[in-house]
Amino acid sequence: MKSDITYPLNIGPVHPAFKEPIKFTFRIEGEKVVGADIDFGYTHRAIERIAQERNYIQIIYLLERVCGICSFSHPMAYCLAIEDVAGIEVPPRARYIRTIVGELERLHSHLLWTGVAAHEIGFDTLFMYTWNIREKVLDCLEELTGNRINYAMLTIGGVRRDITADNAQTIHQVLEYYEELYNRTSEILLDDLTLRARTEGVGILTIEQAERLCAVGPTARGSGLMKDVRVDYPVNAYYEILWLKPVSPRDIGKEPIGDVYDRMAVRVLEIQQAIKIIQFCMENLPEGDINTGSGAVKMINALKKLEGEGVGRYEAPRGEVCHYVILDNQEHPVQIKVKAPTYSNGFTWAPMLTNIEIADIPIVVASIDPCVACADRMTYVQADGSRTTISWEELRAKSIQKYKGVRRQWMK
Amino acid sequence: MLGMVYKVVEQLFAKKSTNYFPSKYILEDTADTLKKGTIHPPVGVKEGFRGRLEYNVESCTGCGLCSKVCPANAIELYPAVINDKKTKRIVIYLSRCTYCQECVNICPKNSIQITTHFFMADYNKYDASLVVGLEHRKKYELKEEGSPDVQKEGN
Repeated sequence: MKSDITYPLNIGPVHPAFKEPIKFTFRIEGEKVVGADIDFGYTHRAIERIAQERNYIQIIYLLERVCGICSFSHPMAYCLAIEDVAGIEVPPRARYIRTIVGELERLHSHLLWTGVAAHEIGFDTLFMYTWNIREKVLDCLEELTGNRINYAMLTIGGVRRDITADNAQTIHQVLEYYEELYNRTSEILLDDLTLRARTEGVGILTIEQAERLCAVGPTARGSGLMKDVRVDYPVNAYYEILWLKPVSPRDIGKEPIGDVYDRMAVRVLEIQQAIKIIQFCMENLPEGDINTGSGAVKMINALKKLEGEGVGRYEAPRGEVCHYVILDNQEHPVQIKVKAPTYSNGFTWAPMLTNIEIADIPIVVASIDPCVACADRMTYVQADGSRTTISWEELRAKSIQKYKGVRRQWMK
Repeated sequence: MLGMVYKVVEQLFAKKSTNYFPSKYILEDTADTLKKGTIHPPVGVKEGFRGRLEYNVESCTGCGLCSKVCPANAIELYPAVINDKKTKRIVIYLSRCTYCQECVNICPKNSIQITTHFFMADYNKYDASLVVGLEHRKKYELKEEGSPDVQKEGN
């Protein structure tokens, strides 16, 4: 029976289906969702403001904490931005080590995501299985960098730790372990009937919508958009990996339609790609220095004399991370802007969440691998606490005003 | 009923079979603890693990570079008198430490060392077990007599 009446359904800001505070307002017709409204702004941490008070070295460790899982990608983009301003040449060995740690992070992030996705559809056995095999790569990262999650591996102009012969052996063991497991894991993830029933044809994002809403990372690639910062704007050792190309569900012989299954297929294929990239880097690891050799204080003093602006782009496991910094003869950047992947991907939720069933909401929301705290922006709040809606023109005028202030300060 | 009361009273005075929570009660040698059968051994850590910091007050020169690079502002400089010379020394608040090892790398005299020790839980974060160099601070800190107390003046 078709009903003409639509009901609102509020989920969030705090709800067990989502890992972070975000509010959705759905309009439902029976069991069917016909519209979705997303409300950000519950977990803003003002990291960009805090960064203006700290020196260039301290910011690396602050930015590691923007995202718990992309804890390598955010400082990586920041270091690239600073190296862009200062014109620092990174030694080849450091570029390879950066690539290896970055790909190990991608491996553990995608395994984490498959576990989360399985949990969201109630397949908890698979959740336990993937998180169990993920421990191996975390142990490897701990041995390589000293920490399990916030690696503290990067510095401006290189990396802080070298890969020794023992570490290299561990990496080879871990890669062998995952290569052995890959066939079995991909079989479970891509061919299992339960998973296919829950993910195929759910949460569709067409290629036109993905392009219009500027989707990035596996979300864009799942819709068939061949977009990958590692290929389009290569940094680190990606220059030398000539066979690298964006993965797509076409690699397993399926034409992408942009549903949850395609996004999952992209992530599973990227696990295999990450293993191949690490193997390539380990085989071709050049000898030499691992950083520019100047200590932290020397680096701060050198950057203190600079002015200019720089942009760093890096492909995090969730999509493109972009950091923009302005330097102005000070011990700290005048302005730093962080664009996390969920900031781009968050808008794709609106088309994805229409025409699905209520039971599919958690898996569709989780399918872009959201990281709400990374992407959160300040919502405009009146001094008395009441909220207002501001128009696009007003918002644009405000942004221009703010950046003019910063630029004038910088250009003098 | 009487048997239950007897059991309760007996258990009230019995030797505790569990470990006390903060790990400082655990023996230095965990193998000995294992023999008692009260705790599972921790998973071992590899060389290069970032654990508890150690501070050598004798070789420190009080340059303050470590407090400059510390991302968490966990290192505090205080004025000290050592061998009748006015200088500075540090304390490290481990409750704020992010274990990035930046202070270890910057120290020109290698006065700060990183260890693989990770038993650090405690009830009070300002306890001597969680503030590296607190015992030296009590010994060497310069307390100027008659100097105005800034905080009291402000209030």
